[in-house]
Amino acid sequence: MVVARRRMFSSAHLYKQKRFSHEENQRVFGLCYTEHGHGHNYVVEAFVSGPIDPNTKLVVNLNHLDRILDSATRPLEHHHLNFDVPEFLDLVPTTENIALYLRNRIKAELASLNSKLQGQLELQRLRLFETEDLWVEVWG
Amino acid sequence: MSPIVELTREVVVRSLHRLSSPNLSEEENAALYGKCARLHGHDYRVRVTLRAPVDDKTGLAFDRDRLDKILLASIIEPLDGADLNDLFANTAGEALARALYLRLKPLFPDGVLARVGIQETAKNYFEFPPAEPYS
Repeated sequence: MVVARRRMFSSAHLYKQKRFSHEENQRVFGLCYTEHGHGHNYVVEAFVSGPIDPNTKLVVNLNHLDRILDSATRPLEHHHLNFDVPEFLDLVPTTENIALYLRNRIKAELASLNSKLQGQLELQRLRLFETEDLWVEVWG
Repeated sequence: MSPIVELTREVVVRSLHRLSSPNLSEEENAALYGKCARLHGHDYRVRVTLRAPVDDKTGLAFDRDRLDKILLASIIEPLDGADLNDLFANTAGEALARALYLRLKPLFPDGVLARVGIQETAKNYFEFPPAEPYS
């Protein structure tokens, strides 16, 4: 069984590879390469799979899932990703890389919840919307 | 090995169509397809999904400008405001999803186009080929 939960967060970012020249950054990243950056209202959807607990009849307590999504997105919420988030000091905070970052954090949180509750929850896939018409999906 | 992700862009085209089989009379088409046999329009939301490894340096699975130029030239410009019956032999959502997939596939590097989804109305969605998990 799969349960999906959604969370919004707002962050600033810009696309810039420090190892590229000014011209190469302009060529590769176009409008996304700016001096100060710009912002998005990101929406992340986590699809969590697992068996239905015979006692609670739930795959996962949604309060637990909310806490996991809160903890995973907290370092990004109302921050400038390029400057405030250590993982993105040298990694371009593209939608792809933010999705992979969130996947790793959510997987680690699920593993710790599993060990606490003897659970078998897995992140089946994660979808990250940068805008309503552009998103990245990561499986597993 | 760089991680593989799926990147989806949605574009909207406002187009006309009607469902009709050339082998049937007007009456037979009306009986078979009901209101869909009359000329009508939709805000088609076309979702194009690419699957590719994330580039180590750029952090991108695919260049957004290149993707948008392809979609502008191959989907938006020919379909927006057009009567789809002039462009496709079959304009049912199933056939459109497949036709657009086949049209777009050679415009991307081998294996990069994962699927095309078409939200015809809030109630109808078509996808070709069907989404599959990957690892």
